[in-house]
Amino acid sequence: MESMDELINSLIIELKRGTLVLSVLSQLNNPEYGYSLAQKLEEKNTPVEAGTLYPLLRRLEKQNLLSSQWDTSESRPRKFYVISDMGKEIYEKLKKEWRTLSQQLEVLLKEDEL
Amino acid sequence: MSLIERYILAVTEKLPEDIRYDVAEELRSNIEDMLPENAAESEIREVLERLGNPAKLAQEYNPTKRYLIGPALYDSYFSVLKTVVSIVVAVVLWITVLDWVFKGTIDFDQVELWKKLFTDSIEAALSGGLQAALWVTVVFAIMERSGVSQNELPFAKKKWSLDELPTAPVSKKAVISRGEIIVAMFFTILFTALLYLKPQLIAVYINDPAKTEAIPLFNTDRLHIYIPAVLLLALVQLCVAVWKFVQRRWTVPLAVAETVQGIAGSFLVIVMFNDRQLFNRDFFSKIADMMKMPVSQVIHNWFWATMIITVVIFAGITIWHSVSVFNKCKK
Repeated sequence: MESMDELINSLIIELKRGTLVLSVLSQLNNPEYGYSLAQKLEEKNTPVEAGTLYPLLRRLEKQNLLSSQWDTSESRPRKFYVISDMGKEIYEKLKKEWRTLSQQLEVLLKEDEL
Repeated sequence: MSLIERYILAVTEKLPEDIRYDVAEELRSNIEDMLPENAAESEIREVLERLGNPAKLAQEYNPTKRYLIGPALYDSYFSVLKTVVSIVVAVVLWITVLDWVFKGTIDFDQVELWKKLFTDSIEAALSGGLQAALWVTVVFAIMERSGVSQNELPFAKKKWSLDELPTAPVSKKAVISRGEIIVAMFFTILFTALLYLKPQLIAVYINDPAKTEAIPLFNTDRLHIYIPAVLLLALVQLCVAVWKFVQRRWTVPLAVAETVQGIAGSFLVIVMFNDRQLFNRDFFSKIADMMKMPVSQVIHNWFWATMIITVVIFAGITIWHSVSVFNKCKK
């Protein structure tokens, strides 16, 4: 049933979307450029689509959670992103929120396994 | 132009100018990072396909909601659009035909005459319909931006509070029926179109056996002075009608708007009907002829009568209607 697969896919994407910011913020204590961050996330088994990740970095920068700098010293200019002070503050809050949420959810999900 | 450059252009050309260059640079370096040295075309294709539809990517880069009419107003927009456009098309077609009937006697070539009716009708229906669609869209775009959909009061973007919750169930008396709105729209459009397009059709028609004669009621030159006010009033009435369409029930702000519109309309009618220069002299002399009365007597009687009739009827109706509308709000 293709429509069921489609539905599951769109629900999974929805589920992941909220965690995206959290995973990106967690990996930007040191400056990374788009591709290096994508690699890093993939190595840690949380791959993010390139088409989603690159625009997201820009949006987070606009919201002042990240700051960026062009590095032109190498053969290819690259835009490096790093978490800002405000970003760190927000990241800590989001992290706490996520932990509470997943604990609560865990309780709910365990209920029907008993 | 290389495949990569074409892709970058497709993403960035729809973006606002201030970020276009930077996004292009960044995207280029990201794409190159994703590729091995001296990448083959198949590898380039693969990477670009992974990035997906450039239009979607552009949307991700610039996610501000860019729509004219959002989901909350969409349904109302379409029903109002259909209603107004069909009324306008019907009215202008009717006016075109009427105009043709009274002009037709001059031209004797039957084929030419029918051809003219045909082309005139199409032109009138098209231009009238397009105008109507444009204005309805403008009104709804303003409503979207002023936040009517989220709140009862336009232009007041205050937070919703529980006090605004309609007393459920809304009593039948407070509901504005669609029919009522459509009839009001119809008359607004009819009179505006008549005054604006063919005021000479508002006339006394004399059916002589020899030929039908139409003596216009208004002096067209003088009428021009009133046209801006007439159009403005029509637009305001249309806005209020649309508001009713969306709201579907009487509320205090809507009742205020209805009253203001009623007062403005009555005022305009009273001023116009008591303007002696607005009326066609020939009209009075024709009536004088028919009634075998001196012209001055006819004019005197006419203005004496219209003064009373317009003031009593229009002011009366406005007051009565406003009171009843405010009463309905309380229901």
